[in-house]
Amino acid sequence: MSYHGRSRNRDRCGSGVNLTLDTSCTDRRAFRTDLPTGTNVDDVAKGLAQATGADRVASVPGVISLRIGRDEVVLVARTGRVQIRVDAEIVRHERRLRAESLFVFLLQAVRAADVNNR
Amino acid sequence: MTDPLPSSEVAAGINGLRAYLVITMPDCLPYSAWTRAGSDISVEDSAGYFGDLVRANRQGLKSVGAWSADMQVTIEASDTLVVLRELNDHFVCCAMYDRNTALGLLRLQLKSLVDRIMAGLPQLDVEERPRAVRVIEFLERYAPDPHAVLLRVSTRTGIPLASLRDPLVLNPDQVRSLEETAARILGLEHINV
Amino acid sequence: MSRFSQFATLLEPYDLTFLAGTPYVYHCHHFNLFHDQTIDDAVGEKAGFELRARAARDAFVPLLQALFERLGATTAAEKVDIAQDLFASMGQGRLAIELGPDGTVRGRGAHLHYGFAWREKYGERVKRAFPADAVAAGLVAAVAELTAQSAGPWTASETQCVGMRAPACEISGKQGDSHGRRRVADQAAFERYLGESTGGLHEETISAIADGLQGFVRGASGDDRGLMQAFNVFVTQHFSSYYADTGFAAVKLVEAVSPAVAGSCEELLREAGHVCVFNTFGNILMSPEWEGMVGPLKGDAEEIVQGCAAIARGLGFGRWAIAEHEPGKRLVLRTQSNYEATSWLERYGKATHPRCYFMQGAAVAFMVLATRVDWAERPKLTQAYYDNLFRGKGLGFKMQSPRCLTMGDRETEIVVEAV
Repeated sequence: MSYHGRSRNRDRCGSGVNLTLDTSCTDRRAFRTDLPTGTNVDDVAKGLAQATGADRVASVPGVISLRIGRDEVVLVARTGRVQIRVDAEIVRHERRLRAESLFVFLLQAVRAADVNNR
Repeated sequence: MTDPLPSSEVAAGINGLRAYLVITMPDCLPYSAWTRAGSDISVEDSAGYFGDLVRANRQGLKSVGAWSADMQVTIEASDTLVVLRELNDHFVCCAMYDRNTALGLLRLQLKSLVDRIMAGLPQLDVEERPRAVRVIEFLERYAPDPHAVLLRVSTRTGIPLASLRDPLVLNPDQVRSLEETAARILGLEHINV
Repeated sequence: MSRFSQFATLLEPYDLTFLAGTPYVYHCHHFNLFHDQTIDDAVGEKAGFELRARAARDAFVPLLQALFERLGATTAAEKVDIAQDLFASMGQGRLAIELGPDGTVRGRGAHLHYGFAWREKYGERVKRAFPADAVAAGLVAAVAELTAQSAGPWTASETQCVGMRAPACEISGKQGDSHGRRRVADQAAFERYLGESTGGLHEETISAIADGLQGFVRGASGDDRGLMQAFNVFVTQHFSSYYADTGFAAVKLVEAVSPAVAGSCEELLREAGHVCVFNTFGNILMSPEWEGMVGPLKGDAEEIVQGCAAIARGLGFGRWAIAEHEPGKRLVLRTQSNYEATSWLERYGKATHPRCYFMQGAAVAFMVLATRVDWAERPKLTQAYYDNLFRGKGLGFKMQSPRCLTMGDRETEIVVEAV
């Protein structure tokens, strides 16, 4: 399957949240998803950190950056954009798989945040 | 440019065919091509890369004494079957099929495709383009940072950029220097064009 | 944040950054590899490696001396520890340095920035035949000099390189260097050549973004491998003297040996500016960090040019100010100090023609990004897209520099106009 075309690279993984290849100058290392409107990004970040043992690392104001091993998940508080950055040492053909494994944790954190907000 | 072959007729009725190209050798340029509607295949790129592959294959087989003029290469990619078939000294056919095409059927249909192409090919000696032109084309296809490769060659060889953009003006020493530099940039012992 | 960031200073209002008095900037691997490649194109791979290693060594020596003093390092082991840590914190890679009992000095690392990034970017395309890690060699030579019993500069060579498909890079030091060690432009030198900072259009917006970026990059540091990944590129904190001194030495050599093609070498140094802006600036503009700090990118020309000016400042290139901007037609950038000019003036005196090559190339790339990129489409910053924008039928812009700090003018002015 090719992941280059925008129309072809949208994978449905539940919760109405999709994982797509994001812009990146190095091949297939950055993936994007956008959290549903109204999602509490802080709660999602906390849930994700708890589930993965991620460390929160310094970033710019308004952005939460989590280091999971050598991968990184970056969440934008005001827009709900999430970027999953796969480490460069993961071979190219396994990068999407790695991103999807982190995406699963993210979805769980989104669902948990949703339940808590109800 | 008008296709010298009636490409739609050549491709008509061949099940699973996504595209065919007739590639000139050794220049690796498209001579005739047909692509199925909706296909996003770049004819020029495909001709360049698959032509180079055939050339490398020829050299490799010759080095082990196993080359023959009717050589054929089949590539089983994830969603495409690519068959490269030498037509004569000057032309190669590259046929691309849907991945699920049965190989037996493919062979039968390939024969039909090749026969139709051969019927339309000119019986003439193809004039080879100057070596400097081919070296520069090869470099622009394979060098890292292709956008800057002529500037790099100019800086390395001392040949002015204007001359590299008009390689027919290069003298034999400059062509030799160009070729050595191209090999060095590409990490090769020599350029096989 | 590393233990060295406490020694980082910002020279206001010029947006120039120094670590314990040594000037530094941030550049990504695309720029770094392209720059080094240009040096090797100009002087040859062997001489290029030596030139680059010397430039790195000549910057590491005064920086390490200052850090040893400030951190109270007196033993060889303490000095080696600081040098290794510094290198990794700069995103240059983790290099294990070993001082042998027989006076030998060696370095080893599997993730040195240059070799590692080269393999990542080009490894599937080209077979590399010569080593890449001159900056690591410069560090090994500097450590050798600062820990050796006898005085005098060292050199170092890379005997194995990850870029050449070795499992790890290996570097070996050698005492003596007939070229000697040269003084690099330090903070005092920068202060000698400062013009009066005048600022430009949209100062408030640009300064606010630049401040945020400066804070962010200052907090960034290499990971356990000594690699710094940010904005989808490998970033290094690097000596501005390394880029300027090697670039100018290369172009001067070509001017002396093959004057007919000096223009090609100069053009490559400008092209490095395109490479940097396209890859680093482009990735920053589309990053979630930018979205969080500035807001989602709308992609209009004003926003892109202002954003680019802020990024240049944030990375320590100097206070690049927008003097004029007519979207799609004309851009005038000015600065009263940058690293290229200071290094040139220190080494060669006043130039006869404008020599701020990097800034010249970058200014053109600002206009290309502002007018020819459809940001709403979220383009992927691939090599093919780069070629589409910067190669082939022409950029669509011409550039001239009517004033240049390297010529002794009070500022560098670069005018980019549509053709």
